[in-house]
Amino acid sequence: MNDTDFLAQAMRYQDGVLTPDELAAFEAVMRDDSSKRQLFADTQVRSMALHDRFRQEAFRGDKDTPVCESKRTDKSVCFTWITRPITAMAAGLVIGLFSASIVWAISAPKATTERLFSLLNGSFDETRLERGFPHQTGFWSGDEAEIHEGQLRFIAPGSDSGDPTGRAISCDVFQLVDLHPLRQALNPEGDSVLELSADFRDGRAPNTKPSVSFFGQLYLFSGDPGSLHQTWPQSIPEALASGSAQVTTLGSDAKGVRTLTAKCLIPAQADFAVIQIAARPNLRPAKLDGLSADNVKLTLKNHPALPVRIVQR
Amino acid sequence: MPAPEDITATLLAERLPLTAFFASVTRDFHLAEDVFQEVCVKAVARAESFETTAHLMNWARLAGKNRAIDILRARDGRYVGLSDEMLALLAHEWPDESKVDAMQEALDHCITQITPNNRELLRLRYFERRNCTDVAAIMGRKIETVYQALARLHKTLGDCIRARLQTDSAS
Repeated sequence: MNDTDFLAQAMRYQDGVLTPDELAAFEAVMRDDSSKRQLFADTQVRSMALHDRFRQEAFRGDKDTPVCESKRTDKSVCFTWITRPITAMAAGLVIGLFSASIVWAISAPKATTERLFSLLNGSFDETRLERGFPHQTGFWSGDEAEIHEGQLRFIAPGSDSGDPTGRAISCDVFQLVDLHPLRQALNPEGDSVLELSADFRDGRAPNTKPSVSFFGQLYLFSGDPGSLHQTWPQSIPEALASGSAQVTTLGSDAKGVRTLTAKCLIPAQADFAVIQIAARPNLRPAKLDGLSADNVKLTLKNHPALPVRIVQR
Repeated sequence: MPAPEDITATLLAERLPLTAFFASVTRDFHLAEDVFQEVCVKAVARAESFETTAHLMNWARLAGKNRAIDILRARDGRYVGLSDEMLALLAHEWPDESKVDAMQEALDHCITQITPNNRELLRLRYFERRNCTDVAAIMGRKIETVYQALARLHKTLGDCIRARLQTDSAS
């Protein structure tokens, strides 16, 4: 099998369309040829790097500009999405649960507890919706949108008030949430996770172009939520932790409403959360008719489940 | 024994290769990222149990792989993918951060060399997370053509990255 044929099989593996016989043959090739294993590994890493790169580009609004210039000097700029939560985690976690036996690695997970947290009007029963990045907690505010019949309807992309020269690439709606009441419910061991979930619906006719990407994102900050609007979105890299989920649709399809869940670890010093739900047309300008969101929920989970596997050294 | 801050720094630096390894099991980038975060939490909480950085990395790959399989079994009722033996073999040879950093910089250059059509193909695949059936429908091509195009594109990018790295190391 030449490299191109092997790579095509690797793509089929990624899609989950290999038959059991094809999967066995794919494995056999890798088992017998270390260069194919290296090719598979390199392709997986490159695929992940491409995923990172396109995702970050989406929020820079300039498809022609590399996300990270070739001569990077500050990695934190390039890896804000993922590294921030871990940085915060390092500051917040209590260390040490080592069991003095020959067994190490992973212990049985403790029970997961969860409760809904104080995001207001997540089901859009009230019609209050303001424009621009919110100046205080407790209500929805953002780009041109409307609350109608218990749903948030995206209407048009808008630029950020803190970056008036920026391009309008997505219709973003935000809510600031005070996290102080949450602190007493945090797991003292530190592995508490905040989950944002939201339902998104693309009500356009099937296979309508352009495609639209829906996003659910949460960012945790310390400090005064009332001043964040002055620096948003430039202040995103200052987030203590963040989480993101996305889905892309081409009008209605058999899958119907898509529920996205974004999660992030909660550092002890987090004072408030920025909840962002967004619809981004992947070709602009574009109307956002038929795109809506509903059932936005914020859930605190302690002790996320981990695998019950015992490894002996 | 690495200090907790060293564990954090190591896992941060190894995020991309680790997540890519987990994606070999999940075949879903977002799920792989979730697994990475969970592994990081548990690694820091168990900092005292790691004797060396290599020990930590072995544990992280194993824990993440197991977690990914458990998630898939809970979600789909079964796991269909590379065998434990193959994943162990891959884990042993998986590229680390020192190689991946240079690869990313080279990728930044190489991606500017591809055609707009190929860029759109990558965007649909890696931003919109489309499978090749969807990509074929969107781009008006046959499914097999898309698999071949994607394979050739990966080969082109891989060759370009290797050439770029060789040039950099020579200069």
